[in-house]
Amino acid sequence: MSTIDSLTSAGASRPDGFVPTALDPDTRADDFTSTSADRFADAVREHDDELTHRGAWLTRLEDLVRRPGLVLALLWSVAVLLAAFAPSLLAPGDPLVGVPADKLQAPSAAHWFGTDQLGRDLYTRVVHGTQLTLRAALVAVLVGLLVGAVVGLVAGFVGGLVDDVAMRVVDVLLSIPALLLSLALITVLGFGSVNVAIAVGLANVASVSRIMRSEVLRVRTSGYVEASQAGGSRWWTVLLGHVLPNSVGPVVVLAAIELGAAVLAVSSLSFLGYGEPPPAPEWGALVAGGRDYLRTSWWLTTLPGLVIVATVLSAGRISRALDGDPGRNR
Amino acid sequence: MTRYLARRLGLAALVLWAAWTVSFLVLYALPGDPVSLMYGGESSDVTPEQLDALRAEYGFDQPLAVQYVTHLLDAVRGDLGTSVVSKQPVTTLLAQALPPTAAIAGAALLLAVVGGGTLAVVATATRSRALAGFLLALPPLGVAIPSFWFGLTLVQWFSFQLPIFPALGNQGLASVVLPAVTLALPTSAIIAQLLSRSLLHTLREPYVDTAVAKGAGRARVHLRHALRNAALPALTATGLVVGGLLSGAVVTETVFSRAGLGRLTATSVAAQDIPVVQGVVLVAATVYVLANLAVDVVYPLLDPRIVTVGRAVPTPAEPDTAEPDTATPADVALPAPRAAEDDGAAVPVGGGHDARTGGAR
Amino acid sequence: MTATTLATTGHDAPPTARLLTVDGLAVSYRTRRGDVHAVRDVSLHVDAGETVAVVGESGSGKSTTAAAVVRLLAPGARIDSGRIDLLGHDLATASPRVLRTVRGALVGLVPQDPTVSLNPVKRIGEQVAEVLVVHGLADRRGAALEAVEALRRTGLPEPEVRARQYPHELSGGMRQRVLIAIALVAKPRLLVADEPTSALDVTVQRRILDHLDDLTSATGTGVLLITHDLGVAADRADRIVVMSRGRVVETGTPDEVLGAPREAYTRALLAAAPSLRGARRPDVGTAAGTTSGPAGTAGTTDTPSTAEDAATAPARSVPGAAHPAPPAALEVRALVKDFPLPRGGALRAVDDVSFAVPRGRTLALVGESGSGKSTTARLALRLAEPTAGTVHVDGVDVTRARGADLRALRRRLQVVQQNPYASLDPRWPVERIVTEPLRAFGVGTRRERAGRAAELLDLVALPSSALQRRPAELSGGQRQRVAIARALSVRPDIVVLDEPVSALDVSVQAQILDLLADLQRDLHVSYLFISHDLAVVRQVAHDVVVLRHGRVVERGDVEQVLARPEHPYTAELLAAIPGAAARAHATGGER
Repeated sequence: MSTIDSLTSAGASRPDGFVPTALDPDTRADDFTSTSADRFADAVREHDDELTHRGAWLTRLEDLVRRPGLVLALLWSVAVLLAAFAPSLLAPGDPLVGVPADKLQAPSAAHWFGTDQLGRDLYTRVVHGTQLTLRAALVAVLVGLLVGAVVGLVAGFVGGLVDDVAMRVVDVLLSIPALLLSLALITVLGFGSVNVAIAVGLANVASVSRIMRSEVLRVRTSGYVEASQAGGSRWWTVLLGHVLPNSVGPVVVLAAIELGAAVLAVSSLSFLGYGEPPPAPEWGALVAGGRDYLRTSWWLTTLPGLVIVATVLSAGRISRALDGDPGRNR
Repeated sequence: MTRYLARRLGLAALVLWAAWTVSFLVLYALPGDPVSLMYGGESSDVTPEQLDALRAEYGFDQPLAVQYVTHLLDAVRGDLGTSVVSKQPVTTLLAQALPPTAAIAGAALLLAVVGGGTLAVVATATRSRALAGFLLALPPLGVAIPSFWFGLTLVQWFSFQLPIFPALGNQGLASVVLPAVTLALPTSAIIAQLLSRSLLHTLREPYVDTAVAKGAGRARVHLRHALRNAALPALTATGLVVGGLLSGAVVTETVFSRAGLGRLTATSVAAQDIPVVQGVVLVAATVYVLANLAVDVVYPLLDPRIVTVGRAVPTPAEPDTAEPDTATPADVALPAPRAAEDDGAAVPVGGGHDARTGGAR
Repeated sequence: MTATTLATTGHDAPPTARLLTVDGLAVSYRTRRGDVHAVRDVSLHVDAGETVAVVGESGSGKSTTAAAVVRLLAPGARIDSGRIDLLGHDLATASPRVLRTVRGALVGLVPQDPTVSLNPVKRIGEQVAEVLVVHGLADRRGAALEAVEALRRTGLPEPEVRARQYPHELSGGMRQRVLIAIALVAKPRLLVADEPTSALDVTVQRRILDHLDDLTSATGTGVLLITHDLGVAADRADRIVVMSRGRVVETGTPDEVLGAPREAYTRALLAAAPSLRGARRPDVGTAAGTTSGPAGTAGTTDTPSTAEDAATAPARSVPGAAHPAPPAALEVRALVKDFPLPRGGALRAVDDVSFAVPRGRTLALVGESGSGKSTTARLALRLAEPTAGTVHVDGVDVTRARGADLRALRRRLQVVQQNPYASLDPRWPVERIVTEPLRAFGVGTRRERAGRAAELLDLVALPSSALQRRPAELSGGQRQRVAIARALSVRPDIVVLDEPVSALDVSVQAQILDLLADLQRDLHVSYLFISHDLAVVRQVAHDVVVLRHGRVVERGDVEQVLARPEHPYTAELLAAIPGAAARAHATGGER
């Protein structure tokens, strides 16, 4: 395709005349390379007929077995979700009540994660803290994704002035580091788990809306959307039938990453002391609480920290699996 | 080139103004009554009469628009207000806090670029699948480790177990090491991730095959052909990386009880000291804008496809009259999109790597 | 080259001049779902001064074979067995060190797509000189000078200037010349050219191939030419190797392979190749009749309109004012489209284009890239707004139609796009795709639409089992059939076909073109056929409009225009169609 032709298809949607195809060597050759890649896929498919076809679920299962990291990540995620919504199942004790005589005990069979300076069982506190931290992270992701996705979808689909204004605002928001934006919001909203969640979520709106918008633009200029328009479909049919389902995929992948990032942000803020007030066992606050006993009681910081690492890693691993999922086209 | 720079500077100023406006809206317009937020509260012994006096003193009894204009004019004159807690001018506080933060952030940036860059190059160049797999698994781990925990772990090992570095404070060069390493970890992970992904992508480009077909060796192909192209998309993330260092300093300086911009932020947020928080936001935006400005200046030097304003097309590819494909209007059109590209930030290639790039448009 | 080499040496080259021997080569790709054997058992050889063309469709393994010869296989591919002997080096098992000394020095590679095969951040001269530097054939300054000379030899004007430029400042054709210079600068004995011109316009393609011929014949360099185009192979090669599904099907001189193909596959490929379907009647019916298939019997006699049709004959004599007596199904008058440039001014992509598509006939809009043909199609489809000019459907001006009127227009005017890999929503099953326009216009009940979907698939010769498939499960040709079924679902009067076959293999192309011809005869639908390929146009179109730089350079009845082009550009386009030698041969051999 010529530059002119791509101007019509891609450039027309951009009011500033920005034509990504002209510069990027990838997209520029897209017409050619994509078809040749697809042709190869075709060729492979042809050969595929000679392979024995097994049930889809069996292949899936085998796929999983070949990716032990993913299995671990999934198992860990299940455990974390269980801890968040039914903590007593995993740790029946009371996270706030300790036995002073048992204070600062190292990890043992009785106290898997040891005990803190008040004799509280650290494992119980971590499990019950999941509720606070993970729920805050979930709220944050929900806020960020919902607001961001709507902004991106509208900006990308409506285009024109709306797009321009929305994206300029997003640009400005991106010039302020996310954590700092959260801090500014917390200054105003006040401390507490919910406020932290909202602050973290709002700070992510800009980046989510940007990704959503670029996805919408990609889908909007695709052949099938044009065909649908030329075929006589109304704009809302195109939006709901083609654009939304095809652009939401990357956002789902994003959600998994964002959840990990939100766990990090939420626990950072609670480490700084902006979360729930002291007895509450938020993960970040647990690490902060162990800081004074760093020299003597390593487990107070190390073990809650490892739980955070494992959770964020699992989220990242799952998001990568979602990204490479063969069910998602492209 | 001068026009290009002037344009860039103008845009940078615009972003700063907009960032300031956003922070004003969040900090002054959102709470409704900033004075009682800052001075009131349950533990406060300030009487309602004193609050009214403070409102009048700071101009909070004025309509929001008037306040906005007053504050903006002050800010342009370099007056960012007075800290509610320390009663010192915000600019003084910021100026005091900046150097120690710059020290650890600078050291961290250096570490991150060298460490992350090396990891990416080695991971993509090695013939050993095991080594590549191991190295490529590191960046996701680095991103997943909370820096407050990593900092405390470093303290535990290198201050308590092996007393090499001080656990806290601002004294001497040794006190920079642990905070810088802490700050560098997530940054280097991001750089490694961006660069290795970009390198892997670039190594599949047909022009790399062309280089191999010339008989070029592995090192030559990797360093001379792939790396420069692959570094371009990573470069556009500079602004974000530097901004990330600044917000990372909030946590890091708290962990190491270091004085600096981050510590100032943490205490100001805790004390709801709005003028200082706004000042910090402005500093962060300035750093981001300056970083992007630097990228905009460097980018055209690294990527010949970026044409700075003034010299539209150096030597048009027209004289080949023998070939009709050069004479098509498409070619006439080509410089145009390139120039349009230049209207935005210099982020033409592989912008998809990071949706947050190109902010200074 | 072909003529002289054949005349002087024939194919009894002395064994001493053997450059490349590929023996029993097998290559497989490791994929998630098991190994795919791309090349199963390939043996071929190239002698000095000889051009050997490997011809095949996608998936035939021809490109994999080429990649194996220079050991540039994709990651995940491996050579299972076989020998690749290049002047005594066994490249199949050679160490990286040996490969480094061989590549560039003994064997040069001309890659597929010139637009992405040069390093974008390095100067042209440096990239050419690098070969000499790498092999220690020259010092830095000497290499730079030699690079300029190499560029000059490829026919690039002002090579000194080019050497200082960056790839993006050169056109696609010029970049391919640069790549040829890179491949030849170290004077290798063998050149591997993998579809060297398929990304280029036809006229450029011809010049590049001519030049490649001259350069290699002068130095006695052997060429392994990979191509999907039998016409190109016939024009350029001393020997042709036909590949299919990883195996060599047939080998021989062009005379043998094209004149008396032994294998059924070769015959089918030959029948499908558009560039070789010589002086057939350009009418739809005739084209349909040339290949075997359901249309074969009906097609030959069915000529819905003769060339002397009153509607088009005057068009040739009075260009720019095509006004047939009955209103045309689709007509555009004096269309102009400007694209604003960011720094002021405008780019005129379409400049005063007028044409009419009579009912039940096909008008082809032909041009190379940048000619504005696709933009014109978008204007006609009302997907873009013209700067000036009007669009008429059945004599009614629809240029400003909005809302209900526009939707009514959409129902009569449907589109089939170029790339069947992008034009179908990957998440939708075929049934939903095909009935999308029906739903858009609220036609029928759910059950009726399901019935219509089955009917439509039958119409485009797809099994009804495809209804529940998703696009990813279909091949390119099947996808294009689905796209055609979708366009026909609301029984439009006009279908705009935007390069409908250019992304498909030749044999699939032929099937789709047959299908289109059948449908036109049965449904009396009009086609606006956008194409860069005169060979394809010759088969399907009744009338043709040749575009260049947004302007109409020639128009008229296909047969007349192609037989006696008035504009030199049309003549050039015609001459550039590969396979002239084979066509002459075919007509001489058969009649």
